[in-house]
Parts: sequence; structure tokens; C-alpha cells
Amino acid sequence: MFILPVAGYLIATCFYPLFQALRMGFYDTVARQEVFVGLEHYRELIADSLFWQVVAQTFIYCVLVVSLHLLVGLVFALLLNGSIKYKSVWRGLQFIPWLFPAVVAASVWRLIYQGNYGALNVVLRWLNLGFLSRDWLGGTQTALPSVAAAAVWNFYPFFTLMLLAGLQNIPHSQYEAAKIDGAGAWSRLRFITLPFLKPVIFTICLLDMIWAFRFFDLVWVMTRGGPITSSEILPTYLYKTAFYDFDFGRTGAIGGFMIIFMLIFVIGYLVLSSEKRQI
Amino acid sequence: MIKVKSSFIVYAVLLGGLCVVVSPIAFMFLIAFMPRNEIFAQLIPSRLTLENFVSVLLDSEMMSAYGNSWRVSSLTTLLTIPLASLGGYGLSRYQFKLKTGFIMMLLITQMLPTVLLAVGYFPIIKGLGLYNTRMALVILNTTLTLPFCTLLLKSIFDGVPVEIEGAAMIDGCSRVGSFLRIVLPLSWAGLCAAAIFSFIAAWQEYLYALTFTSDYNAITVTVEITKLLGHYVVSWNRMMSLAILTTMPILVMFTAFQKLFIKGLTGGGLKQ
Repeated sequence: MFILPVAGYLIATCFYPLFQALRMGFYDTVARQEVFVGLEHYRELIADSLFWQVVAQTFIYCVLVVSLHLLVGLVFALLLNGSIKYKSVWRGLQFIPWLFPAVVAASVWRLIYQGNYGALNVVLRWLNLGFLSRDWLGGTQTALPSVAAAAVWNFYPFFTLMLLAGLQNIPHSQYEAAKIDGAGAWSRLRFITLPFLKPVIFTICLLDMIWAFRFFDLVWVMTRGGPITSSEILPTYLYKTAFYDFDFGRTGAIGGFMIIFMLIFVIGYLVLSSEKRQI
Repeated sequence: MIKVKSSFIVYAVLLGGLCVVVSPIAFMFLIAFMPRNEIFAQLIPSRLTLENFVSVLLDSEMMSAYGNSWRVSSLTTLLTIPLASLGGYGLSRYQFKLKTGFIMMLLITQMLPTVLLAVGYFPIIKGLGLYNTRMALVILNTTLTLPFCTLLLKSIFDGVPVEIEGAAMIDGCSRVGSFLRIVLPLSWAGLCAAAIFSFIAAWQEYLYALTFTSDYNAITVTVEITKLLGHYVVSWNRMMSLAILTTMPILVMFTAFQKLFIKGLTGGGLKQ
């Protein structure tokens, strides 16, 4: 009884529109009449090389972002878990980027990457590395990695936070026993810390993968998918197809593919995590 | 000797890492306090000035976008919290057939691609005559905050002992009465965390605001920032001032309720 309002609200405002959007993928609008076309839009997409380029870029972007989040988050979590002075100050400082709305982060990074007077190029010139300076978001080679770097900056504190919570659950006795057995810092990390953190790492990587996969704001504000299509990812591609090209059949099909890819992540996660439980 | 060396490395890495992390923020502040257009010449400003902030605060369009953001975020919170506390209470106290299904539904709605949903919303919002209204943004933002807040409040209510409620009911308190008079007041900390979460989430929201607003009746501050980017000559100084003004409410709220918020985040909600 208590849950009815929530369930009703979400069915009306999430599942119904989702159903409507996906339904578009199976129809064509001809002279204001909807005509059922089955999998025609899906077939067109599969034959479209641009679509597969966007899919590949989306996966490159996601893997890049998630793995760097994990790396940076883990390094900070390990450093902050040790005995250091002014711990809360350090923690607070490293946490700040997460509080920046993605749109603000995107506009700050646009200015940093700017070709003539962006901070990155100014610093590079100052270091006598002027030959490296360029219009970072304006080059087809550098646009996507540059956006990914901004995404890493914006969201890695989530990893630090979750990993720190995970680190605090590791019993201290484990480390003491290992020390008595003569294990060095590296093998303690390799054989105690990482195995203990594995479930947490696994879960947050999946969550982050899904977030990165559907995240629109950062890429849109920084490059709009350009130059040409070099930083186009599925969310921006879908948005353009819907609100610039008004091709709703195709939009529905792209959305269908997005849902399929996400289901693959989730099912992969469930399979892998149930395998681990059996061992 | 080795001890000293290793802790030195720890501090060095930490300091280096934080410099990289904080430098974009420092850069943002530097640009915002620079005299207009000096950014083109050098990084070191000739003087620091508040003129960019003043010009942003006097700009009626920017201020109405800022006001819209405040209203949309507060209303989203006001809509989310009652719904989420009901749902969280139901999940925490009752066993029912579709319980796992309901939890799955909450988790799934958090993962749906929002861009695809925006496409689905478009005809509905138009049809209801809600295009370019703050109401539309409140309704849509609530879909982003509600699942998380429901799960968060469930885990908070789980921490309130059932015995207290039992005692109240023996004294003649109804189910609803014990929910309102006992469970809610005991979970005020969790309610605060959920409220801050939904305010921040609504405040940051960009995609729906971009898609469903067109002028200053409803445009929010996140869209306003990106509109500045579209101009032929981008006024970076003003833009960074507005960016700072946009981040400030979140920074202040978060610092004030940091402990509460982190406890809610790492303890419940996400780890279902």
C-alpha cells in the first residue's frame, strides 16, 4: 500500500515513455500515419558504418573513463587510508571535483583545452613543450580522449569514496599476520587489499560503466560529438537523430541497441558474480 | 630511514595529485576574478576585480535562470521526499509478493538512458501543454531522484527498531500515526541526506532542461551557462563567474552535511 505512489509514479513517468520511445523504432511515420515496419530501422542501422563507428567510440570512451576512474580512485584511496597528517583536509580537497555539475566541469575544461589561451597550452609552452600545444577539442584525434580526461576529473571521487569505505572493512589482523610472515608492502596490496576490495571494485565498475555509457552532458557541452563525428557517442548520436533530424524511427532503433548493450553489461555482471560465489 | 622515505613519497604523490585535481578549480576562480578580456593576453591578471560577478548578478536573464533552478530544485525535493519516504517505509516494514520486483524496478529506472527517455517524454510533455514550464522539469527530475531516495530511506528506516513502533501501537497509535510521529522524526538525518541528494541532482540536471525549455520562463542555470558558449565571442570571465555561482549552493550544502551524506551514500542506497 505504501509503495503504490512510487510504483505508479515510476511506471507513468519512466516505463511508459520508455515503451513509447522504443515503439517508435518499429514504426515509420508516413503522412501522419504510423506504419509498422518491423525491424527495418534496426536493419538499416546494422548496415550503417557510421553507427558502428559511434558504437566503437562509445566503448573506447567508457573503458577509458572507467579504468582511469579506478586507477585514480584506488591510488587516492590507498594514500588516504594510511596514517597521514590532516587527513580530513586531504580527503575534502580530493573530493571537490565531484561536486561540480557536469555542465560547469565541461565549460571549465573547454576553456582549459582552448587553442590559443587555454591553460593547458599555456602551461605546455611554459614548460618548453610548445610543440605539443594544439586545439585539443578541435582535433579529430584528441577530442574524445580530452573529453574522457575531463570525465575522469569530474567523477573519480566516487571511486575514492566507495574504495575508502571498502578499505575500512578489511580486518587489521590480516595485515599484521602478513607482516609477521614477512610480506612486503606490494604483496600485502596484491594478496590482501585487492582480493578484499574485489567485490566493491566489481560493482562500482559496472555502475560506472552504465553511467558513462548513457552520459550525455559532458560530451554535448564540450564537443557536440565533433569535430565531424570523432567524439560522437551513442547518447549524443541519439539526441541528434531525434531532435535535429527528427528521424524518430531510427532514434527508437538506436535506443533499442543501447538497451541491448546495457543488458549485456548487466547479464555479464550477474554471470561473473554468481560464478565467483560458487568457487 | 626507509620509514621516512616512504612517507615522503606518500605526501609527494598526494600533493602532486591534488595539485592536478585542484588546478582547474583555481583556474576557474582566476578567470572569474580577472578584468574582462584580459584572459587573451596572459594568465597572471593585472588586478583582481568583482566586475564579472556584478555584471552576472545584474543580468536579468541569468538571474531568472538562477531563480528557476532554485525553484525547480526545491520543488523536486518537496515532491521526492514524501513519495520516497512512503515507498521506503513500505519496503522496510512489509513483506509482499512483488517486493523483489519492485526493488529491481527501482534499480532499473536508475540505469535507463535518459536521452532515450527524453525522446519518449517529448510528445507527452507537448500534449499536456507542459513544454517550457518549470512543472515539467520538476516532474522529470523526480524520476531521477525518486528511485535512489526510496532505497536510501528504506535502509534508514531499517535502522529504526520495530519494537518502538509496536509499543506505540499498543498505546493506540495507528500504522500511519506511528509512521508520521515515530519513524519519520527518528530518521531526520536520513531525510536530510535524501533531501540534499535530490536537491543537488535536480540542480545539476541538464538534458531535460535543455530539451524541454525554450525561454526564461523555465530555463535553468545549467542551460544558461551553455548558452553563453554559443555566442560568437565567448565572454569567459562572465561565464566562469556564473559557473562559480552555480557550484556554490552545492559546495555549501555538501560541506554543511558532509558526514550525513557520505554515510547515506556508502551505507545504503547503492548497495542493494
